[in-house]
Amino acid sequence: MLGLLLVAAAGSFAGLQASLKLGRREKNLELFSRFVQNAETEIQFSGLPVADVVERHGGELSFLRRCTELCREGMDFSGAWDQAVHEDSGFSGEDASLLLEFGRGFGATDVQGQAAHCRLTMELTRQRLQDAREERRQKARLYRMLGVLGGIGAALFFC
Amino acid sequence: MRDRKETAGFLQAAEAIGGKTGALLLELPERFYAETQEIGLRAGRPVTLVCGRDVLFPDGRGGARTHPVEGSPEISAPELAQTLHRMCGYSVYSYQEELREGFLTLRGGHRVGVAGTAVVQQGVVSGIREVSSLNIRLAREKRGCAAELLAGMGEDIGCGLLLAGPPAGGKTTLLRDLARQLSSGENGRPHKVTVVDERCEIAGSWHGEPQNDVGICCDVLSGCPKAIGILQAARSLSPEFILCDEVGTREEIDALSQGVNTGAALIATIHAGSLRELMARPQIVPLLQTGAFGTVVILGGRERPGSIRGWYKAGDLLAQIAGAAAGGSGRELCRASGVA
Repeated sequence: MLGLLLVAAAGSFAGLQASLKLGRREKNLELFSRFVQNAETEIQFSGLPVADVVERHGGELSFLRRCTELCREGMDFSGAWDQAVHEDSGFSGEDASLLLEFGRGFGATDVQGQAAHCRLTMELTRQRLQDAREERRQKARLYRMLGVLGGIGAALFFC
Repeated sequence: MRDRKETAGFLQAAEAIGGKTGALLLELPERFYAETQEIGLRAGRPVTLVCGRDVLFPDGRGGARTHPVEGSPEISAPELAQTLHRMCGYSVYSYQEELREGFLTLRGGHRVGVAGTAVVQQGVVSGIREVSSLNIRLAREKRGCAAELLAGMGEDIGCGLLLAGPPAGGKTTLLRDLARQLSSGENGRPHKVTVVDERCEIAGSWHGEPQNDVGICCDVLSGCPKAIGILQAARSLSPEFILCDEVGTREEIDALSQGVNTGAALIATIHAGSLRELMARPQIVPLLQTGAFGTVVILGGRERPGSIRGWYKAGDLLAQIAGAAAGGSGRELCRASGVA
């Protein structure tokens, strides 16, 4: 009986995790958009190097914290950014491509070019954020229900 | 085993270049570390090293040849762009002003000349895009190389000095050591020295800190145009000596004229391979007429950087120029000065 309860709980937990992942993605995209906005301002007004911009404004995002760690360990910024994005699981594959693309252009041009690069990234992030919100609205509840029903179904199957 | 200081510059440059080109440079025998003056990176072309008068091409097998061979390592345009990006600490915008002037300074004071397509806005170069080549000029300190010059000048150094030499003739190296010796008091008491380092070559400041030893009583105005810096130094830093590189524009000559009457002695350099070349330069008469320079020293060529070829009193040169203008020629002037 206990085993069956555990199977049902495991299914519910998996559904909940999938649902939370959708929420985490949305939150991460919001934070990334805010980071890009801060980066644009910082570049325009203080000319702070990119590694310092990430350190100063990236504390809320785990991949940016990881990027700072890697830079401190001596890795160059480009490699650190790429590795930190690849290691992070809080974004979808398409989001990761957007982050990698941003990293490739981040710091690569003059102030004007950086402002344009940041604005383009913010716009693309806004579109992805809308998708993420829509996806969460449509699927979060579904995943939770599927998890619970799947768990119960599996428990009944083994019973 | 070579002195670490001799090789440090090359190692710093190789590290700044990074990637496979940086690794290629580090594979070279240690003698190249000390002998290399410049490293040339050109998109789609072989990597070059300038050692004295020779241009050498690393062969990718741990050596360098006088001519490129098949398979001589090249750097591609994307790699070159990535190299510049890396040199800027992945923050090109932080170096925007320097890049507009066509250069940037690396840790160690090494200067990177940048060539590419100029972005012109309202008749002014506002930046460089599509970088096609990077020329890394390694900063060299030759401690003591100005000793002969200082000994020869004696008290006359206080009347101003113009150093004329060909490109890569050691003008900047000599100027750097002059700053160090004067401000550290190696020839007597320490003097207050201000270096107006428009192109960050003399002190080689990187993140605000001089990378080359310019002495203990030396103030550095990095990136400051000479015409502004000379007057600013005289007004606010009360120096005994003001040093700057490569003077010659109308604005700089005007600033020198004003600087003469501030009590500071001016030491500057100018491009000229010989007295004949110096006299052929249109700005030499106004420069000498400022009264900023009591002595003109002609330096040796590329083969003997920093060596002295001739000493001349500015007044004598002006008199000769006046004489030549009255009835002679440039050739007569050079004969009179004993220069072929």
